[in-house]
Amino acid sequence: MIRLSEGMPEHSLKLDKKSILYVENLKTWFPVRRSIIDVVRRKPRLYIRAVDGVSFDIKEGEVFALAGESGCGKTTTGKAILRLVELTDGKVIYRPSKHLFEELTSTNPSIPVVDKYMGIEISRVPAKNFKPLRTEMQIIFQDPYGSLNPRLTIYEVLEEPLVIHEIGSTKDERAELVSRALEMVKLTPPEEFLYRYPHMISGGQRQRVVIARALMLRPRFIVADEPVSMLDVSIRAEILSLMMDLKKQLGLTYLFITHDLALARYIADRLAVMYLGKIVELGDTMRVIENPLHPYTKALISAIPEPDPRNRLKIRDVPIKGEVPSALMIPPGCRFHTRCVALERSPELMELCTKKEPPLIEVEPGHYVACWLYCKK
Amino acid sequence: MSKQVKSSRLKALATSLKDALSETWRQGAGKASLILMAVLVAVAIYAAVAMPPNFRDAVWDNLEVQGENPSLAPPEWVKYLGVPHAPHVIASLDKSIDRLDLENQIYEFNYTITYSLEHEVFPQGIIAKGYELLVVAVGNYTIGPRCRIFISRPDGVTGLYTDTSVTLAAGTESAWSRSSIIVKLSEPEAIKSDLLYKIIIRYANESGLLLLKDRTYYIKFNTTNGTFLEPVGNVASMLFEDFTLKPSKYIFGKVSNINASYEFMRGQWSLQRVAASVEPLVGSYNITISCRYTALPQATLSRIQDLKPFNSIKLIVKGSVYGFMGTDANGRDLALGLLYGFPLAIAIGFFVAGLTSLIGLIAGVVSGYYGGIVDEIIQRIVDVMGNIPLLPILIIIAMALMVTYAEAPLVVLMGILTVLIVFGWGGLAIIVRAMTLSIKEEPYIEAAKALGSSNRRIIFKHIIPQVIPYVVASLVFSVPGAILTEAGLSVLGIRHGYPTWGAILSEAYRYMRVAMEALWWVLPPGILISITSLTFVLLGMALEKLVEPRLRTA
Repeated sequence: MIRLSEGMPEHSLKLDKKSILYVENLKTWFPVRRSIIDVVRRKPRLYIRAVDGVSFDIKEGEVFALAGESGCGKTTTGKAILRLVELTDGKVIYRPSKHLFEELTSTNPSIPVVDKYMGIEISRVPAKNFKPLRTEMQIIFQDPYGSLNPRLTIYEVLEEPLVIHEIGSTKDERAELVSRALEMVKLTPPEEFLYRYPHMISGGQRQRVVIARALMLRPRFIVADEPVSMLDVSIRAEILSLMMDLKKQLGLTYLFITHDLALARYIADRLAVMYLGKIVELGDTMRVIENPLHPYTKALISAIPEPDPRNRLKIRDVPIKGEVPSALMIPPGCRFHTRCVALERSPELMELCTKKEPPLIEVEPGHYVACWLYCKK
Repeated sequence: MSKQVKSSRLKALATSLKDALSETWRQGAGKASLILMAVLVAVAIYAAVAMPPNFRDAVWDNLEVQGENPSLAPPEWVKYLGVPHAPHVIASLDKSIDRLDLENQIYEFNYTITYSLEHEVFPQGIIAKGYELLVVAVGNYTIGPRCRIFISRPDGVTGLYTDTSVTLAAGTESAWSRSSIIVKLSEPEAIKSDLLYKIIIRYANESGLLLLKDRTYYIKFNTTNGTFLEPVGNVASMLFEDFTLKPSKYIFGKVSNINASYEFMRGQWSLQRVAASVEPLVGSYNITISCRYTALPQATLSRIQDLKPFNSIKLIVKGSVYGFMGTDANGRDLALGLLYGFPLAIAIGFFVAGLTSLIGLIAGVVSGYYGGIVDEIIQRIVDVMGNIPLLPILIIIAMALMVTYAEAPLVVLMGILTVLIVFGWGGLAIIVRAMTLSIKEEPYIEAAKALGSSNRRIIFKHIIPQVIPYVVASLVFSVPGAILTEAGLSVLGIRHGYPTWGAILSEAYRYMRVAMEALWWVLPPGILISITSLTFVLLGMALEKLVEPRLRTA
């Protein structure tokens, strides 16, 4: 048995009053359909382990970025937090605003309250009682083309959340709220947009409408699932600065999901890097990017294109090998060992890396990494 | 603002409807279908409004009405094609020439019409009916008139055709009121031999012998008093029997021969049948209906004078042609039946197609959206339904219904339609399920879930509006299917009793040998079924291009 060296505490949840969301050991596994022959042969059920034990916490008012390549489970993490996919295991604790907390506990006394800071374990709230929480937790989708129903006008799209949550008693009141939301996302004058259909406006405008829809319910926490990755480069900065303005204006907290570390660096306070359903490194954005510890983070960072024209002819060396393994067959031990370049350089770790999963340990204050390289000291 | 929202939504609906119409109109098939559809719907509405709701019992299957029409008569307009015909005349007689003979205490009312036969074709008969009989009271008795029909022919023969003494059951009607009973003045029982004998005397040869067909027997006839001399009296009664069966051929004919057929039975020849050979007599006929009261007190007579025995008398000479569409073998007016078929066909088509589409839509959306065990159950039901052969099941169930509910045609018809609906929704359900499966994976559905939408809201607000255009197109396509199946079943012998076009065709099919010559009976219902189907198929094709833009060529 290998023991963790002392003074290197494993990452654990620290519930303090600054946090708005805690996620502990979140797992989302999708079962693979078995054929009848497999059932007869009693083959074990296979799972796609999209998210396989993720833990982090988000402080109120910060931008927490979740980065990683496609298929690493970052979007599933975001959706699992909002219960858009069912989670297999783990805890998600959300700390709602005072009045929502009171509303929730008064209407439903059995709601799982976890601590003195009025956190609610939303992973245990039954789906039928989840509706009030949605007013505070919203999502912005990646695809502004698909996330608006082509048969509804902008007005109908934005009115929908109000109708669902019975906000605004009269139609006039709702129309007023819709107009204000459009103004908030700088689609002015609102009357020009109200009765248009999504196909009549541009991609950037659509994403503004999507943001406006998410804001209709006055949320505190927003999962932004790659909100700019499908937009023209020229529009990205506009949308990002709009999102940052809104954050300041409305006191929002973002879980910002992205595959673009450069973007994360631009907007995020803290950054978690995911690989194959697990967080491999977590810390303040600047620290992670300037001093990456995990070999995977290093590879990602060296893959960021450099804006310096002098380097245009240089073929950069990205320290990674092979392909991402299937989420069906996650390698034993450290799930990155099949692609790890550092392992080649320190073969003495071979036994450890291929047999035992590395824990997420705190290497320097607030900077966690899951790699055996940093445990051996 | 809210008004603006509402009006904008209405406006959007109106414009989308207008767009759909103009888009349909732009296509050749769409234009044709819209025109045909407008005509169909207009005729159906006219028929539904103008025809009595109990048309089937009151008109179509009413023996009284059928008896007034010639049977198997072609439409009247065939005369313009040069077909020889006897005109069909309906006269409502209310003007009479009265004759009051106070001395003999007789009061007589004479109604006369002239019927002219131009072609050598026999009319089918004479019908006379009196309406609103006056109840004449003398003391405690009620008395009716004696009504006789006299016919005077172009060849000079004038004779008594029928003689009816109208009697009223005592005490059923109040005195001096109008009875609601329709008095029939031309029943076979009322037919007298007078006219027959006079005709035969007119055409008998000088020696008093009429023409004879038989090898051994001669029929002798006394021209002076109109009696048969030889061989026996029953020749006369048999000839009279033939006259009462087919009076019109004697009334409107000239006799050229009398045929008697014999059979050798029990060692001797015995007479079987006597009938005259006749040819139509062209010219103008006077038909007089004479109603008389006799032996009444003077006061009573003068009271009748003001009131008349009947309010009106209907006299019908059944011609050889009838109406706009002709008649069937029972004498039903086909124009009425075919007209009544319009609303029936459209109602049957839309009822079946509408319910089929509704069930298919609901089953498909539920199956696709909820998935899991619900999906599995619905899809297996669809599989089972789809693999049961519909026609045998339909025939068995319809036969059982026909036997059980012979008196309730609506039950039989609804039973047939129900089977069509039960077996009809599967195909649409499969397609709607597939569409739902793809729609429910769209990001905006997930966005709606993230906003807290209930499943019901997602289904009604996001999924059904996307599926509806396809469902409407498929509804339009399946309308003719229902109409054709109903017609097919009628022809196969499933008769619910309603005069649908299929039922009319099926009647024609039953009289196959005659119907082959009565094209006016066979062709129109078939053509109407085809045109209706064509309308909906064309409209469906045009609509399909609207909902499936990939099919647009230009």
